[in-house]
Amino acid sequence: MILLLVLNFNCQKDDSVQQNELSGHKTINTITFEDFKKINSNTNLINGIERHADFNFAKSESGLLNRNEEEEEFIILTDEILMITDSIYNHYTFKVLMQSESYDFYNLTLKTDLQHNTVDTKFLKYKPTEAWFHNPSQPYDGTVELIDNNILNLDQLLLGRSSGVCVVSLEVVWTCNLGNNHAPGEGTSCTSWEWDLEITYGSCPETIDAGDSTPGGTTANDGGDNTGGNTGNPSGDSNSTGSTKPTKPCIGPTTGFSDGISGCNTTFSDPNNCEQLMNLIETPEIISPTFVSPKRAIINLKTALNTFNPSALEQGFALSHDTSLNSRASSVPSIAPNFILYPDHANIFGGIHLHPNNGRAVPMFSGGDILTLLQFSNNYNNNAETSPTLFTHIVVTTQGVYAIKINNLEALQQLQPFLDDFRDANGDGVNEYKIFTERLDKPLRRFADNFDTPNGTPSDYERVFLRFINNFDGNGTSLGVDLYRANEDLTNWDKLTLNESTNIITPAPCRQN
Amino acid sequence: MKNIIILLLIINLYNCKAQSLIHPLADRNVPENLNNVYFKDVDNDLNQFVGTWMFQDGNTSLTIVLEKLTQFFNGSWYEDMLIGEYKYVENGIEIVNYLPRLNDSNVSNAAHTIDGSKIVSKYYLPECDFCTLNQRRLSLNFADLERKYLFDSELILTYVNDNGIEKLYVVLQGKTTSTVPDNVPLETRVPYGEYILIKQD
Repeated sequence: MILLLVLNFNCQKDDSVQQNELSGHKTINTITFEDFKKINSNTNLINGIERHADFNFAKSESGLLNRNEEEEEFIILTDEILMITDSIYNHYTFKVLMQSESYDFYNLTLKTDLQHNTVDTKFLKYKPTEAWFHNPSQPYDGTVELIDNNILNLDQLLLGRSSGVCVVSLEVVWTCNLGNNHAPGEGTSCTSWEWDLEITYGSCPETIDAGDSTPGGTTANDGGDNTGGNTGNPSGDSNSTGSTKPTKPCIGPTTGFSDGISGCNTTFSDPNNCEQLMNLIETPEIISPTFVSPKRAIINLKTALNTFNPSALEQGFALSHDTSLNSRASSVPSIAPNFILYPDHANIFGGIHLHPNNGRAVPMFSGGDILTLLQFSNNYNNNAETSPTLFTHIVVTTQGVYAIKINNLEALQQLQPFLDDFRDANGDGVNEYKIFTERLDKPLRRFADNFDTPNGTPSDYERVFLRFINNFDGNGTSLGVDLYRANEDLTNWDKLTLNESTNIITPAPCRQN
Repeated sequence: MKNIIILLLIINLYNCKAQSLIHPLADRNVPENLNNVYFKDVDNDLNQFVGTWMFQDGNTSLTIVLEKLTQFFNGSWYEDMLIGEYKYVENGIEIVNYLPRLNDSNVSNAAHTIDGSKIVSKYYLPECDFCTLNQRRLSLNFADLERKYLFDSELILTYVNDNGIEKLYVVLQGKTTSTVPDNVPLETRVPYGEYILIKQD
C-alpha cells in the first residue's frame, strides 16, 4: 500500500505546474506553505492545516514519509500548493497523501475571498481511469467524489461548519492562449490551449447522506497536473446539512424480506435490477470530454425535450464500463428522428436514448428497443459471468423516463430467432422480426390521432407496453422483461406491473421513502 | 330440410365471424389480439403506389417496383400490403439491384427488401408541406441485405399526380434501434434522403 502511495505521489510530483500563467481572467501560481501563510492570516485555518502537514512527519532515507496510520488518516503536502486567482476568489489546492487503492489520489481545496476569509473547503477523491493515469496530459478522465466523513471533520475544524453538498454539474472548459473558450482545433489564431474543470455544487439528494459515496468535488485543472486545481464556480452549497454519520439507503419496496441493512425491511423479487438502476442515477459525475455519468446523460436528454422541435433527431448515449467497472455514458451519433445505433463494444451494457419532442414520437419503447436490450446482453463480455440484471435500456420521452431490465434472460432469448430472421432469413416464409416489432407498434398507434399526434396518457402507453411484455404473442408468452419509470427528479425508480384483470398499473419504488 | 337449415346457420355464423376479423388498414384502433385479424385495404390506399417508379439524376438512378399482395398471411395475421424491390445506380455504376428477386420463386413474400402497409398522415415526419390535409401517405420497410445490422429503414411515399404525370415523393431514412459494429456505414447503400420518382409505363 505504501508503494502505491508513493507511485501516486511521484506521479503528481513529476507534473510541473506552469508558473504565473495568465489564462483568461485567472492567474495560476504554485506557492509554498510559507507563501500561503503570508497571504492568509486566518490562524484557525493555518493551524488546522499544519496539524496534518507533511513537515510534522519525518522522511525516511528513501524519502518516504513515516506515517502513523492509526493516528493520521491523511497528510497534507505543503511544498507545492496550486493557487488560482480569479476576480472574486483565491483557490488553493493541496496534494494529500492518503491510503489509496488503484489510481486514486486526493486533494484538499480551499477557497478564500480576496479579503482572505475562508469561503469553502473540501477533500476530494479523484478516481481517474487507467488511461488517464498513464497519460495525465489529457483532460482528466474519471470521477471525483467528496470523501469519507472522517476527513470532512477537518472541514468542521477549519470552518466550524459541516459539509453537505453534491456536484450537480461538471464541465471541461477549454481556454486558448488568447483567452477565448476555444477547444483545440477551434479558434484560428490560438496556438495553445488548456482545460479547466468547472464544477457546480448543489444540494444532495434528500435520501443520501453527504459524505457517503455521494458524488462531490471541486475543480481540477491545468493541463494534466494530478494535483487538481480549483478554478470553478461553486454555488449553492449553503443549503445542505448532510449528516456525518452516513447510513446506507434501503433498496426495494417496504415490506417483507430483510436485506440485513439496519432499518431496511424490504421485499423485492429482483433487487439487483433495482440496485443497478439506482446505481446508474447515483454514479458520481464524470470529468471527461468523452464520458458523462448516466444520470447526466438522462438529464441532457431531458433538457432536449424542453424545446419542441419537429426536426429533432433521436439522440442517445451508450452505457459502458471503464476498467474498474464504473458506469459511464458516451454520446452516439444522431441520424434520424426514429433511429439510434449503439456501438456493439464488449464493454457496453446498455443505452439511453431520446424519443424527441417532435410532436410525433411515441413516448414508449418500441419493439426494436426490446431487441436491442437482447443485443446488449449478447455483445457484452467482461471475461466473467455476468448477471443479466446488468443490461439496461432507457428511453427519455415527453411523458417520462423509462427503463427496461431483464428478469428472465432465457425468456428474452426466445427473441433471438426474431433478430436472426430479418427478412425471412431462415426461409420459412415468415418475417418474425417484422411481426414482433409490429405487434407493439400497432397497439401503440391506437393512442395517436389521425394526424399521427400521440394523444395518450402515460398510463395508456405503459399499459400497452406492459401487456406486450407479459404476453407478446397473444398466446400468453412473457418476454422476461420488466418496465421501470424514473421519478421526476431522477432520484428513484418505480417498477411498473399491470394487473391484467383490473387493468391497474402498480408502481413499486426501488427505494423506500 | 333440417340439415340444410343447420348448414345455412353454420355458414352464416362463419361469415359473421370472418367479418368481425376484418380491420381497415388506416384504422388505428386495432384489436387487442392481432392474431388472425385481417388488415384490409378497404379504401384502396395502396393501389396508387403500385407500379414501377424511377428517380433519375444524370447517371444516378433509383428504380423501385411495388406490387400489392391481398390477404397475405404473415404467420400471425392477414394483411393487404405492398412488396417491392429496388435498383440503385450511382454515377453509372450499379450499386445494388434486387429487382430480379421480385420474380424469383425462391424469394418468399416475407423476404422482399420493401414491404409494408402503414398508412400515415401528412404530418408524419418528415411532414409533407404540399399534401392536402387528409392525404394518406405510406410508410414501408426498406432493407439493404448487405447491411442487415441496420434492420429496417423507412421509405415514406407520397403520391402526386402532377398534370397527368404520376410521381412518388420518397423519403428514405433510418428508423430502428440497434447495435452496430465499428466503422460500418450507418445508412443503406441507397443514400438516405429525398427522391422524386416518376411512374414508368
